[in-house]
Amino acid sequence: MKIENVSAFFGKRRILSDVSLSVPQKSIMALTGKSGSGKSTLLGIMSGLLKPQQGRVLYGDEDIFKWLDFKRSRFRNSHIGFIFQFFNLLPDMTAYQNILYPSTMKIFSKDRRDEAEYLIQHLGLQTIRNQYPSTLSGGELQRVAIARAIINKPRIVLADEPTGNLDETTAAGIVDLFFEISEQYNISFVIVTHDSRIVNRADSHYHIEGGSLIRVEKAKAAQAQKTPEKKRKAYVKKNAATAKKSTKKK
Amino acid sequence: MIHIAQNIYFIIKNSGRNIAKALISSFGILFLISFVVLYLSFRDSIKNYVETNLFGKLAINEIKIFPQKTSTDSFFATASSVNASISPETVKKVRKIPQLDKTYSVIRFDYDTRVRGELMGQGSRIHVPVFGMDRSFFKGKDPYWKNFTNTEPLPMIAPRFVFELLNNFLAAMGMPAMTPDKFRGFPLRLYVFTEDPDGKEIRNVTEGAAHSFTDVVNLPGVIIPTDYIVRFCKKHEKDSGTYKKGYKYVMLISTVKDVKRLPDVAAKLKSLGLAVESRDDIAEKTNRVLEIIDDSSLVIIGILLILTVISIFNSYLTIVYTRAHQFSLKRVLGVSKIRIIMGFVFEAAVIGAIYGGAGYLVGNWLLDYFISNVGKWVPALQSLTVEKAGTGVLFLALALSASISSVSALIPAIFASNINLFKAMKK
Repeated sequence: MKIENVSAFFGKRRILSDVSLSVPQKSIMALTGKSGSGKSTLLGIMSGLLKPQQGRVLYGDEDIFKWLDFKRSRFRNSHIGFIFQFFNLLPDMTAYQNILYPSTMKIFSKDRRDEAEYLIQHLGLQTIRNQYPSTLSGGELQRVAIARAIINKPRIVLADEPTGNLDETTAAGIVDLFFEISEQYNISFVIVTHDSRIVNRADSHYHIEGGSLIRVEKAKAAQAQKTPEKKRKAYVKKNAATAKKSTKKK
Repeated sequence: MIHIAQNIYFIIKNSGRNIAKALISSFGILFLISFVVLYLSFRDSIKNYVETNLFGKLAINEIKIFPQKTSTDSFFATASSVNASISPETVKKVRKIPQLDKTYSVIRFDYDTRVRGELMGQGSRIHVPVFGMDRSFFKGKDPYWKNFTNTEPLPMIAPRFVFELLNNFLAAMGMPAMTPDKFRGFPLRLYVFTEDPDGKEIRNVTEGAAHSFTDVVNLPGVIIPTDYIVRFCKKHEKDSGTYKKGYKYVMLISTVKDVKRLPDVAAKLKSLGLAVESRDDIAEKTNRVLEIIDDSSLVIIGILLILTVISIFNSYLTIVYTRAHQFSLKRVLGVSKIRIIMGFVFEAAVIGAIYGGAGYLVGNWLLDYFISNVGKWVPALQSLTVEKAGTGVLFLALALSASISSVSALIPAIFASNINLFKAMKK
């Protein structure tokens, strides 16, 4: 998938400015940026859900925005998987039904029940397969969402802050899973994240700032990730010193 | 194959759940369809009733001739005709018109008249206009027409609605309804009041009997043989000391030799200062009554329709916002806009059809209730026969309600298909 000179506006506000990007096969790409910088908009454009005001999104040699909505939706169903921060499972369906759901949208679609069974085994969801989302933990919900994202064997999975709502241990497990899935199923991941684990392990890292997409080199990325940690430690140290002073005064 | 069944199951389950949730939204259709069912069922019955009971029946070659003073524009022209008359000279001129085959005259007593009857021990003597007609007019229209002669007891023909009133009275007394034949020979008494030279009232009593009921001519009184009236008036023409003819011509009923010449005949009669009413006029009058009924019904249907559409539109707009997450998720997972719209519209159509069916049942129930009670509420309408709405109306109700519901849901459906997906997914 290629994005060529894409610009997007919300009203008069420019969100993305002349952005170009190529998603190689079987790679994991981390996408960082401040809130409102246009990360989710870029995911929307890549999936064909949001039409950019300028530029093209190419799948193979074809601009997906020249297709009819019907064809674009079919493309999204077959070639794109989605993972969200808040999981977005259908509450009235069991874990198994949620996983199978994207493959049931067309009456005469391929039978994916074997794949669903395999993913349930692979992702360790056997014990919760018949449970409803309301009874599942964050990690379980995200694993079900991952299984749903890859049930139709997509080429690309777009993940919007997938570890943002998970505790440290669970998030680490989910990150491992992404890399494992990418390797095993030959799927590319574009992950919008603030999680350093993903950024550090990703094959490539892009940062959005002022509407522009900037490729961040690995060394710089590590530095960029360390800086906030240094700041945090300095803040804690300073606070601790202030607290000591006030205790002495009393 | 199993997975196809499973896919269908998913789609049906999903739609079914949404339909159940949205069921309350289209409640207004129930009222609308009930009203439409009632309206369609009543329309034909009212048409028949208006034609037969208000305007009378005419054969294609028959015309009614009134004095010009009586406006034929009035729906109740024949009823008001009792107060106007046609002069004997004009009657003679009409009889001489060559295009007319037969002319029957309708005369009316120019004296105060009353009729007394007794039923279930309760008698009453009421003021009623008394008209005279020749028995030959009733040939082919009344099976006992030959007996309609000036004999003792005097045969009297009453308007059809009197029969309904009598049966209504019997029903109120807990008695079973009677057929018109059962009332035949029922004793009646005719009172005609003349005056002596001093202005004192003379009561002339004649024993009579019920002959039949008619809806052929819609005269607002009883009909007796013309002979009786003519002879009575001849006998009493000088009761008051001065000459009084004692009766007047109120209407003529003629048959035209050639129906195609009807406009010529009408023109000729108009030149004699008369007004004419043919079957076409009756049909026109009936249509005008129906137009009034149609127009007022359409206004009610229109108001109900607007209220229903607004309520469905609002409900579906609310549904769109509450289900924004579900719609956007479906779009993300690969459902096209058109399928979202189709799904929403299908959902609305099913809900509409459910209410259409319910409205049909409610309408029919109301119809049953009306049929069994109309006689008690308005006795004159007891002869109104209403047929229940058939399967044609059921299909119409289903199609109409499904269409209204789906059209009302179309714009909210378009909103649903255009929800800002990423905003909705972030929630």
